[in-house]
Amino acid sequence: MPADDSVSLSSVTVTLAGFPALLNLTLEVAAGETVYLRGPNGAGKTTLLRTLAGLEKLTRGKADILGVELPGGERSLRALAGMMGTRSHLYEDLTVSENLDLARRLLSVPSSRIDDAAELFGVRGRLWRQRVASLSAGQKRRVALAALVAKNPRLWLLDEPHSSLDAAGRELLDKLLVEATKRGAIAIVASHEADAASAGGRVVEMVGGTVRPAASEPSLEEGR
Amino acid sequence: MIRRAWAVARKDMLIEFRSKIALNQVIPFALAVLLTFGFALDTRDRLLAEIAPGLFWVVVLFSSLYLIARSFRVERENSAMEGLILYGVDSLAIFLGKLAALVIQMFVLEAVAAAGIVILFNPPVGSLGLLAISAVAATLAIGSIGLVYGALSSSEHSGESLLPLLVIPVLAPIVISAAKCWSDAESAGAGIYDPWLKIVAIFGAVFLAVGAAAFGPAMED
Amino acid sequence: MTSTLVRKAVGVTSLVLVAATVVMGLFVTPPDVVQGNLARLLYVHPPVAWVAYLAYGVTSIASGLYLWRPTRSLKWDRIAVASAEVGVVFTGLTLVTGSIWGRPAWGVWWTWDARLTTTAILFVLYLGYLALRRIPLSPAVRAKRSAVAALIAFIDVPIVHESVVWWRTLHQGATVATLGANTKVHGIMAWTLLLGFIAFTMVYIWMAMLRYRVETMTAELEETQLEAWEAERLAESATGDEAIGRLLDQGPEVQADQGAVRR
Repeated sequence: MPADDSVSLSSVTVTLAGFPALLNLTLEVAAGETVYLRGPNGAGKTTLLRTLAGLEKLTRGKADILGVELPGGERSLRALAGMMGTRSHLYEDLTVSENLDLARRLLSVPSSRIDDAAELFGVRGRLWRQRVASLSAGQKRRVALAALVAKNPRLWLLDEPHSSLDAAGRELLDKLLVEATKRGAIAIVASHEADAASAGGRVVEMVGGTVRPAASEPSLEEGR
Repeated sequence: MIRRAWAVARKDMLIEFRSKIALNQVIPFALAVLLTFGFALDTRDRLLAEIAPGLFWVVVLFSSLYLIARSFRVERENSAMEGLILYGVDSLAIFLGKLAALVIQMFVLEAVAAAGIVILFNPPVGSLGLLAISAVAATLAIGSIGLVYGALSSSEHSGESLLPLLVIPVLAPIVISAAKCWSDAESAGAGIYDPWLKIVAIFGAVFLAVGAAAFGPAMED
Repeated sequence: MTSTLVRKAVGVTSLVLVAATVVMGLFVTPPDVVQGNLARLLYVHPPVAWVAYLAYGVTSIASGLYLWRPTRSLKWDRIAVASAEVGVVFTGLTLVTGSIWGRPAWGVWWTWDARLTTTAILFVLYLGYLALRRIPLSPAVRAKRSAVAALIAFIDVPIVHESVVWWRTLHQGATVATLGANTKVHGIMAWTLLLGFIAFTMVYIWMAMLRYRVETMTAELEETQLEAWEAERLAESATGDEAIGRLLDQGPEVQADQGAVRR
């Protein structure tokens, strides 16, 4: 029986428009662990993150994520998990401060917390009153990260978080993940880059919508 | 939940203040359609005055479809609605918030369109109370049903003509009863005891309830 | 393969019954005293309209059963779409046969009678339902969304009907007599009408069964693909060296159009 601070997926299949984006996937992640998902395009990394966030329904299999059972508990899972996908979830027509103010209202946190988060990611100054539409991709990502930190989720789900972030931003994010996992949170990061950040984390290779068996197994190689 | 609904409504109104799509595009569109009716149907005063109630609700319904589509477009950019869901916001709160913002914009639209019709087509107006109450009920119905079908048809792959196709037949009773309310309001001695007002109020309540119940299943996958 | 057998039996029966209705309606029954041969539409139009309503009823029930969690199964979704498609066809037939009858009887193809108007709105309503189903979505999402749409339509139909009735009656005189109201139905004509009802109901069942079979086969195909993809996706794609060579070595010689732009 998995504890309510870990993640456990068993034989999970998720079908998107008839296509099995996740196929018979089994994965265990312990509290405080950082997992890096690797794999080619279309391997199912994004779908796995979305499933862990409670955004996709299981077609087959079952999961226990932070004590929430799937299928069934998608809604409660959404409130626990923190997802940063390739989409920023920001309103283009609103300014940075208005977007973060919405986050503050929905999270019911004091505005000082939002200010701190914005300060941390450097979107408090010049950018504060700018519309999101006028920001660069990296700046949008910083705003989204600020909102994510304000939520302080127990499960961090990051999809290609380093793309379009500058060196300082990447460093900041990595530091953040280290501190969060130190406090018992779980971080699952989909990334193509074989960066140094994987130090301390576990690398999970995905292919064809499932976890690739460990490379030491020769049977797959022989088949080719 | 009410607080979160309020946050969603506030957000939608802020977006309108920033982008002014309703003010600068949808309301002028409604006026342009009114003028076109004038050209197309000739300027025989009696005819236009007679059909003014129907024209008004046709214009309001079609213009509202743009507002509804807009209400979902802002959520689709950057998958912002998904962001709301990830904050654990209840679908009913999203529905109520979006409905409140939509209804406020529709009221402005209706006020301008009604003024345009009264000035351009010169129909008699008897009971303002009857007009106002029927408009509130019809607006809630159009907004509720529009939001549900906006959610049902929201997808990267749905064409822009799907929403009107879905919404217009469902709202036929509202167009009929609201237009009849205005027709009755034209006659002297009409008041809020008009039978059509009762009908449009019942329909409005039913569609509001249907919308509130159906929005969640429609939105959440 | 009992289901195939049943389907074939239903198909043969419905074809025989329709043929019998044609013979009875066109050759055996006498022309009506008042309406002459026009009354023969009576054997088609009411049964067709009945089937349309029956089909939407089935769609509504199936959609409700899909939405209700204890009975949630894609089976209901397939029944809903199968029935709705047949329903739309029969609603179209209802409108067409009604118009064909209306032209000689009333002198117009169309009149804003309450029943006609409701049927027309119903037609558009379910065309929208079918259009909604065509958005590419995962089966479960599509099933849920279309079930919601079908239930709204179900709630909407009586509202539409009532509002249209009030609309036509509160301010105007009596509505136009509906088809067959002034035709005296008796004897052989009544039996032929009954036969028509049974025949077209059987046709509905047959068509819905066939349509349901198509849905099931599509789902089965996807299920098989799921397994095929599993193997396919586990094998990595071949290295692209050869293809790169092919693409880069033998490119087309693209020439700029010799257009109006001169040096």
